[in-house]
Amino acid sequence: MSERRISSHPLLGPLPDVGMVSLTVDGVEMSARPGEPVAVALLANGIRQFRTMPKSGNARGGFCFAGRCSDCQMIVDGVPNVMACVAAVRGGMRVETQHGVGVWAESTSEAAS
Amino acid sequence: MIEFDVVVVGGGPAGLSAAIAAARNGLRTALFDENPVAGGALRYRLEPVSLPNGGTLPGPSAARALVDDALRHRVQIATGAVAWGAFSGFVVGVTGLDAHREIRAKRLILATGSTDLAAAFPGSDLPGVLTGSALLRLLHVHRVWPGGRRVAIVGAGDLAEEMAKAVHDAGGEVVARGAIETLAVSGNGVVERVNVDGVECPADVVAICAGRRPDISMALALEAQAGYSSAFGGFTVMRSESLETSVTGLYVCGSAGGIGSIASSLAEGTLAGLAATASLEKISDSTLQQEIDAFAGAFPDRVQQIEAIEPDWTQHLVESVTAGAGK
Repeated sequence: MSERRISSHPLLGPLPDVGMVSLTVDGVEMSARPGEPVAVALLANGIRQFRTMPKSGNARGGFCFAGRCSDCQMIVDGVPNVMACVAAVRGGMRVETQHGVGVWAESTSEAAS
Repeated sequence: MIEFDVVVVGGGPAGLSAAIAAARNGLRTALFDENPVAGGALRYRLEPVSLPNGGTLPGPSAARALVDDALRHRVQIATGAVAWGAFSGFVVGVTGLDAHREIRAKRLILATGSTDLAAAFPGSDLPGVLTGSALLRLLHVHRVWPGGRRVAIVGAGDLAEEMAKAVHDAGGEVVARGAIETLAVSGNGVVERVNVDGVECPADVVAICAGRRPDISMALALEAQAGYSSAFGGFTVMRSESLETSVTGLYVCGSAGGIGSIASSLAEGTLAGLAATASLEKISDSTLQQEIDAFAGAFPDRVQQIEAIEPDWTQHLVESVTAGAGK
């Protein structure tokens, strides 16, 4: 287990073992705890930049982690503007860094409608 | 359309205790929470909590105990359910259920909590800068470090006080503490250094404790009267002694009614739930009055103090709307 995970805690006890699942982030395969927020899986794998901003180009990496601020918007399974801090990890998920404004592909907008 | 006697929006300490108070008196009660697990701030604040039914438990255990109590009293709890809007007659729009639903409520209790305030300073958008409650959620709910373990804690208030202990318990190190006004953060793509009160040091994480503001948008959408209270974190909803708003049948409790403590949120939830119960004639007005008196005695600083807003003050800077406009 990565040392980024808090595997033991004096008040919360040991982090329970779960069967890990795999997802890809910008094409690279990584492991995660099923059901945890995508943003948490990325942090546990050492990824701290989730998107770049449309105007400044600056990287952002999550600010509120409560589904409010949109700093963590990423492309998940082809769908843009997904808030990684609340979207739950599923095995086989494809996560991509979002550069600038999210763009809906023809096929994804049909799939989502 | 599905109808309940009482609908509670928000499953933190206030919402859970409100739902329990209503349901244990025989009211058909539903509770909606947008998170995958109910409990709100109890899930990441580890201090011991005294529960309404006796007993003292750490926050996360208290959350589970309250959820169990609510389920035992047949509260229908829906998590991952976002209540996105509320309409007159108390129709609440909810997504995240089996389908989009509109739920009708005879009485509506808003326990929507509060949001951490952001702050502006050099480097405020670097990954690694995050709100105080965000760091507590990551450390305590998700059990992960957002980068390295060297943390600067800036700002004041209850969260800042908890933060140093939380960082230490999770195996981290507090490298700086100070005021937001003096803060500058720098780094190449992520937080690498902080400068607090003129002292520079390496850091990985900056926790912003700039205070919180009540989430009152749903109450405002229902045209509940609001006012300004600096003690309660800004604009708050005006409430009667039984926590009813200016809209009959609409109640606000917990941090949504003004920034308070876990203890005051639990007590307000119970009072709002009982007030809704009394208005549906399931308990007597004298029983409710006893609860009101007990609450006011235990939490005198929660008796609302809305400061006067003069009608000619400019209330909305962008649109130049004065406080008296439209009245």
